[in-house]
Amino acid sequence: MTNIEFPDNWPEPIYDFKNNPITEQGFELGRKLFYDPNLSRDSTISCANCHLQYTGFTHVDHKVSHGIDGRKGTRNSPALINLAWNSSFHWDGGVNNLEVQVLNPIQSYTEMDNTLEKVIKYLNTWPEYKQLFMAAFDDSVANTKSMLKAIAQFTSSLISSNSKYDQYLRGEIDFSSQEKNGLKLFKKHCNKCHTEPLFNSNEYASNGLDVDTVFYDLGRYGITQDLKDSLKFRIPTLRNIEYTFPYMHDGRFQKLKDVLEHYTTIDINKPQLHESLKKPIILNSNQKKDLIAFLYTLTDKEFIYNKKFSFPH
Amino acid sequence: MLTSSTIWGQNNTVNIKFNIVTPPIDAAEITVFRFYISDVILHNSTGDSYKEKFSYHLIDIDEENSQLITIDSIPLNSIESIHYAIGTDSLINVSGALDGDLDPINGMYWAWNSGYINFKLEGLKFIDGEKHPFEFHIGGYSGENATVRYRKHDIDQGKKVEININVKLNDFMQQIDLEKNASLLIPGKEAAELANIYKHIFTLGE
Repeated sequence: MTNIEFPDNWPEPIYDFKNNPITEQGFELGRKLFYDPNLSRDSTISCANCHLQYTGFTHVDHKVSHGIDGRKGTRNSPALINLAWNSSFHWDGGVNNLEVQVLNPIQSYTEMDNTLEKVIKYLNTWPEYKQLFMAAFDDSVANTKSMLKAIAQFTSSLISSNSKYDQYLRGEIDFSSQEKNGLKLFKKHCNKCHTEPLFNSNEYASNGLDVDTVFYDLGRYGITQDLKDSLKFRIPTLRNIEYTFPYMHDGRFQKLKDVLEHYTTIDINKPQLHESLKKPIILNSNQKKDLIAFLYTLTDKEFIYNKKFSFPH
Repeated sequence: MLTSSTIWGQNNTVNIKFNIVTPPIDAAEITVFRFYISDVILHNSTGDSYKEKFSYHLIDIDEENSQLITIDSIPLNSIESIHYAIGTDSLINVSGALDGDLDPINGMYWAWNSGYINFKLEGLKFIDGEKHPFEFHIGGYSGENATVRYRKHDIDQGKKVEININVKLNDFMQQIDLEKNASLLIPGKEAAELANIYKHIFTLGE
């Protein structure tokens, strides 16, 4: 593959592919790196540990992830879906380019706890990697830049665009009346922030969650030091939401019905609350069921089971 | 007036040497000092200029080779002034994974808040016989908290092949109140204030 493919009605990606055009060799090198636990200090943790394909490239059923030595992080693992359309990464948007995100898990004490020196040395002593780097970049000597570019070729390729919802939009299948009603409710109450067709936004917002009492995570404020950014987090995608529980930046909600319970009971006086949530959302129990039925249509089995994204054998 | 043959040696080359002047031994001990110099531009006396290509240099007190920047094949007949930046421009800070002097492996890059540390200074200040540790990782490229600073030096006639720039760390140390803050590791308003101080410790040497 030399170009990513995406639906005609999607906006152009934000990631600069001109500076890192996807090639088959670059993609395969990136995939191997993604699934290689030798990038961690004790060879136990790969990217895939917290970003499992079968659950939307996130760490299902974990409020926060555990990395090396069972150490726990402080935020819920984001789903790696359609990253080429993100203008920033991490719940607080502290990372401004897809390529440099990987510097975080590799060096993080709680995740892979390694140093760039050790990782680059490993890549330059493993014969298989010398061949792969040569094939991908015409240079058998790996460095930080080529490693990061290769991984970005893989992660930017993780595109989910063939869910039941997508097929419905293309007129290939029909929705049940429940799903249709759910879509109407979604457009009315959720679309402002979880905007179609990517079902996310490059903005930061507070959706009225009380600050958590374990980490006192103030979100975006940690990056900008601007009080107006306190309690605001990046708006994540809802694609494959069926598989990516638990929900929110700290994984406090286990089920979608808990999420809807929150959204229909927000105190509109909460600080920094997003504009679109200042009018109470009222849903009866049937409407909640319809909305959840719609959210299930965002599951993309083709993405979840695509062998191209799986562990390379 | 000097002719071009006395100004230029063989290849229209300029050697820019950064002389790091550490504080007196009894005032402070420096354990880490690295900074970026970028955007080097040379001007002649008639309005022409030459911009160094991909001008990003990591200067390290522990690496003597890094303290010399050599620019050759300069298409100017003389050099009247040198312009440069202390730190890195905002565009390079959003450009993803880079190598060479800009490689994140150099320990001058924040992974959690993408961007370069422009000026990293660590050590011990001696106050009343006691050692007070300090660490300043000064970076950030955003808006009014950007920490890149621009300098310009007019070159004396006859000094055009070798340009010496002094970096006087004692001037920096003397303007810092360690009691107020001995550790700064994030971008923001304080970093910008420290950048205003480091701007002026870069002066033209003999």
